[in-house]
Amino acid sequence: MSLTWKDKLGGQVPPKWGEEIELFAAQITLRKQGKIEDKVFAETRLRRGAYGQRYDNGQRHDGIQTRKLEYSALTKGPDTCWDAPGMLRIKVPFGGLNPEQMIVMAELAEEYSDNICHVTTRQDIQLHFIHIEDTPDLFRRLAAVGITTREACGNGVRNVTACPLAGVCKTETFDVTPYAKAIAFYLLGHRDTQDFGRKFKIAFSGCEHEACALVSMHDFGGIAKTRVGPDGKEQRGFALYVGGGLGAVPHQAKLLSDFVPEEDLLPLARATGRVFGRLGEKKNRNKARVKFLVQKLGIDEFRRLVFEELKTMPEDPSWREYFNEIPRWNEQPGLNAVQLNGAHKPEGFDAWAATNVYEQRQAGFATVTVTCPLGDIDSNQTRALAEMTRRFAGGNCRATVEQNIVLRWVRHGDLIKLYNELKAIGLGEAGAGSIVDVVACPGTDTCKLGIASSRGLAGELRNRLAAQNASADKAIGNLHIHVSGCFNSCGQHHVADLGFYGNSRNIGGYTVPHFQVMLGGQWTHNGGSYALALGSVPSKRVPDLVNHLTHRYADNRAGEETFQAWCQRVGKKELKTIVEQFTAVPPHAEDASFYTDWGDPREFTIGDMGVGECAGEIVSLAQFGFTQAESEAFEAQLLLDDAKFKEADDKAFSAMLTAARTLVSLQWPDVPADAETVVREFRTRFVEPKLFWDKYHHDQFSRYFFQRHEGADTRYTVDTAHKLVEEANLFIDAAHKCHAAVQAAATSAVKV
Amino acid sequence: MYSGGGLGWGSEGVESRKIGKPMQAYKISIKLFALKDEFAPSEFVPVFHRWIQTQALTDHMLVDVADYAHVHNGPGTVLVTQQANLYTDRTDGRLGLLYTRKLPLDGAETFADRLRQVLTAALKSAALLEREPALAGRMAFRTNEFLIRINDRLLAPNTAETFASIKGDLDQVTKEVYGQSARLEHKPSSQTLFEVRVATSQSPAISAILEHLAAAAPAGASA
Repeated sequence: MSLTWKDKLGGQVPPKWGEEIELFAAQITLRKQGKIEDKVFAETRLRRGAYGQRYDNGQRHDGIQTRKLEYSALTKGPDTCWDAPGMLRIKVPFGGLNPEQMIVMAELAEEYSDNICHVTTRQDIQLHFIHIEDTPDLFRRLAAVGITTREACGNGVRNVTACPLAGVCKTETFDVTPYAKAIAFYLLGHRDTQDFGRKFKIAFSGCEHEACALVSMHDFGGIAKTRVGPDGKEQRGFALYVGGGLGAVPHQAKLLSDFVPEEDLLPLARATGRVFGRLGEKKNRNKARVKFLVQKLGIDEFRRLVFEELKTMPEDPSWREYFNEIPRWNEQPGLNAVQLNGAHKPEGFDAWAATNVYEQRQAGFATVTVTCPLGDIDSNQTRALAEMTRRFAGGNCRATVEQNIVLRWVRHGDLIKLYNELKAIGLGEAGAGSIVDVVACPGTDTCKLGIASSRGLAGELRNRLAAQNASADKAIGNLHIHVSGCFNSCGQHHVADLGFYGNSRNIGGYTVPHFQVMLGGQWTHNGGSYALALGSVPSKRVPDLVNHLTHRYADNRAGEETFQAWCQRVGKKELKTIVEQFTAVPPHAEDASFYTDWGDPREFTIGDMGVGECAGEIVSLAQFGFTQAESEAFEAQLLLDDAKFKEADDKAFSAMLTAARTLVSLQWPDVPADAETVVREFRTRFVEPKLFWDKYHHDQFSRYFFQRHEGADTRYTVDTAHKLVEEANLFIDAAHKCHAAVQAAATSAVKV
Repeated sequence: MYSGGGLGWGSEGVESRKIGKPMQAYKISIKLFALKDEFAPSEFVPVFHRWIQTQALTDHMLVDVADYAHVHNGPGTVLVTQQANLYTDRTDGRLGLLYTRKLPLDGAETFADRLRQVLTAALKSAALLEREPALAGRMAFRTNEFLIRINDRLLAPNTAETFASIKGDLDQVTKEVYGQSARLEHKPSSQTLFEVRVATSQSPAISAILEHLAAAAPAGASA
């Protein structure tokens, strides 16, 4: 019988991913021994998708008092208790999931989390209330089905999203899926994306005028385009945009290029990353997104820098390797098309089909949206959906940014059967993408930055609007409502017709949950424009405001006037007057319910807010490099303890190479990883000029490195392996000292 | 040197994962079924919040409440503690209290010891829920049936072999509960967690069961 998940999964985990996971497992042990700095470990785990959660600072207000949570003293980041529950963000590039992956996620939710898979507003899946020490096994089990959580959080390239209808859409220019996938895996762990000051979000759309993938609000995004090339043939490419983003200060993305041929997509993305990594703000985290750099430089200068950078980059064959996949990228239905042919439709089917069934461009097939209330599905539902994906959708499903799941390639003839099966597991609700389908970030449920309960409000709005059958209303059924727990806009409130973000007001000495009202955002045209802020309303009055506004719009709109157009016609002044009618808060003695939030009976407080981890930690590349070297040295020790002497020897040498390469990269960032180059450059740049030099031991530590490079002691005994492990540790220590000396010298030079 | 101790995982956590037998599993779940389901979807939310205020569960560090009432036949309302999660679970449409152990158990040498401790904790929680004033006496649990689950596919895959290897412990503990053997139903499956349904014709009071379990426990054990 298998002893560990590592043993059980064996060759199912891709070797490189397996190595990274082992490294992280070693880093967990080192952190527990106090041998990795707190903030370095925090950024390390964030870059593996292991996030903190609310109350992980060890305290929680229970409605009466702030209570200390008696965790052990160990931390997994600044002010973040080791044993406090955390969150795992699972990247799902372009939202694409297969049944095997869904089954594993269901299992992980049962065994390590609270039995819920949560679909996020960026097509990720999140598991909450996990323990940091379970994360290596979580990573292994995901890796075995082709999923990595690497860089799901932290200052790097986050999940690459794409329109969930890519490949089946009636209006798309071409299927962007293979490009989204290519860029996701090209940039994953790429050395030019490791030194960002902030996160970097990428999206791909097949259409310009639909909502699609909301490119306008992304750091980097492509909208599919074609043109006739010089050879007279149709050429695929993208209009590329850069510098969009929501957050507290939303920016619309600027046009980087109106046509980039497909073959230049990856190099241009890399060049953009290099410019951002080099010039982006790193000290002021509030100004560190690429949108601020674009704003500061201007798009023309930013563009110039990117294209100049492109010229400096040597040709890389991996830029175009994925082209072979594109013709083969062709999802297939599991079955041939079959029509509905007048079959008896059960109750509710027509209403459901009206909102949840999209006719694909491929005749006879539909894409079905499974409405997932608040983005949550439990393990049993996830398993059942996996089976339905297999049977009805040819194994093709995707998560959406509206926190639902779509099953593609469903035959018309199977729609009733699928509907009945979805209903049986509680996932047959109509209204996907409608006003009832309220989108909300986790908010105060689990997020440290949450101010008011976005999910509580969203749940209340869903219930009320569903009771009114609002999704069927011709005027308001298609409106979008989005709710964020704070101004950081993870609920994407800026691009909704009615958006809300959490804040608070002090009323009569009490803190009262409120939401800022944002009206008239544009969902279509890739998140084409942002909403107007019109004032804050107590949380408990928001449903009444929504009711009033939607009825007023329905009664007063001109013809088919959109909500956005109506808002503009009515005008900000009048809208503000409407909102102000809902701002009154009764005294506490009269109605205490205003002083608690939706779904939470505790007296409201903002005292539970913590330090968010969305901005990650700024950790230099050198710190990462040395941490990796130390982790490898630790792994070597473990191999030695297991009497694996050759492996211990190899790993110890690898640790030395990592430390040496870290030093070399201070002078030559693009230093290749091969041993010959690293050894040569280390000797030339550091040993010969006596930078890597000990006052008492002189070049002794570098000689350990060079001797091993010339050849291992092939006796591979406990003594030879032990010797090299010790030498590796001494070498790494010396590398640290050298780095410190070099930094000190550089600082002195600046002062002079 | 940190061990992650206190109420944390402890340095033995990684080692215990290397032991490959279901008898070593500690992530045991117990589901006790409610006699009736007359509760509003989110009715348990204020109850669990109040338990945190009053620190109602001994030997547990109460952390938070999560509400999934909007998930059909789902985990319901969750009381998250350091040691275990408690769910007002409605899987298969049957409301019950699902107690899922997360941390290893002190002083539990055998699977029977662990099962006994987890069952004791689950029953104590159920009794607390039955006495909860806000529920006005509407909550009562059946004791002639409950589920035992092991939340660990590595140590306890849902196979006939797993069942065979712990059947002795299951028989022992259920006999302690009921004073005689109970029916143990198990269905192997590659999809679901290992689960055994315990059923009997008897319906002893929770307090009586707790007394039996306490009498059978080794000295010094606690839940």
